[in-house]
Amino acid sequence: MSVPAATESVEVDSMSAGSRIFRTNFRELWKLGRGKIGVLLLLFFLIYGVFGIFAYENPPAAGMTVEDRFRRPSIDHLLGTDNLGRSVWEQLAVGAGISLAVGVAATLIAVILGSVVGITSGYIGGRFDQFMMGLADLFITIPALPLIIVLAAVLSRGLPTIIVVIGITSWAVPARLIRAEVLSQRERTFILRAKAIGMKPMHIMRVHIVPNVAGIILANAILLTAAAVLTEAVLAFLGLGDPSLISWGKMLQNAFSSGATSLGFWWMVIPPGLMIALLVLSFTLIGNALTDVLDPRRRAE
Amino acid sequence: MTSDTATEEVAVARRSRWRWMRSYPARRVLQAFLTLFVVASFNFWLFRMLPGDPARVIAREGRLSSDALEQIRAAFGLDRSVWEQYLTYLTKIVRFDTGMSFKARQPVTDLLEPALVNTLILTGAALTLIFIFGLAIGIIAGWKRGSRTDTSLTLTALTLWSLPTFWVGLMLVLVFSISLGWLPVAGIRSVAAVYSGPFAEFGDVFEHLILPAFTIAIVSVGSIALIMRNSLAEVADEDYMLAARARGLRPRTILWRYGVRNAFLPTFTLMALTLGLLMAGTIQTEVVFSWPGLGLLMFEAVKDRDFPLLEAAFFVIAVIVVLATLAADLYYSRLDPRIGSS
Repeated sequence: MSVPAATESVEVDSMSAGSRIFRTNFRELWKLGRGKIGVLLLLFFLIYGVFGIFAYENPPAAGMTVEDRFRRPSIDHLLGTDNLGRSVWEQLAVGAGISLAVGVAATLIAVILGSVVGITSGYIGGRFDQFMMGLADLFITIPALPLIIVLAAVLSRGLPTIIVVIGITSWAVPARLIRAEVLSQRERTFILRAKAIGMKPMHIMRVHIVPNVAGIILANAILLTAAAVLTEAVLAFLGLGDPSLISWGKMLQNAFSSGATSLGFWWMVIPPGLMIALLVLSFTLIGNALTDVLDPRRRAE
Repeated sequence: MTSDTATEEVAVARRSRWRWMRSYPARRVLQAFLTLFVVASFNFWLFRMLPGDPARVIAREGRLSSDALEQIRAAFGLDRSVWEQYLTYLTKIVRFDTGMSFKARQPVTDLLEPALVNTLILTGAALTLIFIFGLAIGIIAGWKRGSRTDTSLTLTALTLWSLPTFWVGLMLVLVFSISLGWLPVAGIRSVAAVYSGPFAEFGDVFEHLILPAFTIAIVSVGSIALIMRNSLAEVADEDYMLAARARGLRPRTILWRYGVRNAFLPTFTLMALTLGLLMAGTIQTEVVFSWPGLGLLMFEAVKDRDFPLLEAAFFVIAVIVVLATLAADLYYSRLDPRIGSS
């Protein structure tokens, strides 16, 4: 009777400890200039993305007359219009939601796959571990973008395809990181003790291993999101995105293929690229700062 | 009993004869070829899984007589079993026979060869820039730790890494080709150029190479500088650095003979790991500048739904990356005998 009660209290303890760890880590993150800029930037994009979804229709309406095309920035159109007379400003706001959604969804797939492979592989070990890590190395060696292009070209065009393709090609690095962390945790005294008192492997993983690797998973996930946002933009620029949706990469494709770049129509080129760069930068800064915060060697300095 | 020991002896002898197979280089080479085998197989099965009749996909025509379809099936070996086709495909890949392009109606290899050369020119130029600027900035930052170059390096590197490569290319075109008119917008040579000699041709290609090479380099130069800086900072805490200082060696000598030399190795390995990323940058850059390389070939194959060309270009890019990574790993393992000994 007393044993289940004891495990329960352990769980409660680890949860409150988890939130405490989260809070201290966030405070450390905020102290780093990089981390602060990143968090503020991301906050801006979250609000901007929600604003874009509710404020404008997707895709924004095209202009009615030929004169509406390629208009320079003015009071009517803050950032001018594109080759179809659509407002660049409106498209920009609509694109924020798409970039965020693709980035987060693709990362979720990659992190779930990576966590499952990394944790089971590290915990089970042996042949299974060898095989899975061999597979991970294969995915790390094969150049990702060409592989993604081939997959996206063959599969049906659309947002789900892009999300899945980016997700299933990015699981290997998180899997390797998580496995390494699990291996270092596996032989620690509290795990051995949990094994000795007869805790089931799944339970040990959930209660002891997952909370301990959560930090490194989160830091890596944020960096993966940065890469996913970039990849989505590249695919849209190459014409492999959803043709019916407006995204920042698609806007740049319009600028490129309609000849706006060669005509020097900067308002179609600068804003979308700047937005991609800033959104990616916000994730990169947070991810990089968080990695430093979680690294005990650097914290000691 | 005796036969048992005999077989055991044979087994031991065989094992020692094949012992080199266990060595790091042998395992590494095997792994590289396994990777390429997987890429080739992936290409084959992906093509098999395409919706619709492959013969119709090849013909690129919905309305065809059954006779014509049969002919195409026979010509492309589609009438045989899938496994037989797979085997033929693999043997052909080994001989670098990658089939016919749907669009150009000529062997894919004829299209790949010039594209491969152009891609290597562009990547080589970009790598040279990354090497020179990345290492120089990294060494300065690592040596003068706490200086302004050093403290701003992390932020600069992260910012540059966050830029979409294709957008950097568009911006460079906007500034240096359109506004200032200094450099050509696209291509590898001037249109309808007639050269007076090889130097004139070289100059023309060089002029076209500048913007694309910088586009690729700008995005990764910060990361390489950061890696060099960090490994120099790590080396600086080593005992032999302290010993060198205690012996009263000149700071410059300590930096180059002891610091940079030892810091370069880890930088080199990490650089080899970014080759895949470099190819990603090359593909985007080639599209922006219409640089007739493998990336542009892939882009056009996607537009034309020319699958044999698309797969072959992907395979060649994979070969470049896998072999270059292999070479870097083997070179590194020779320099550092600890690699692969575990």
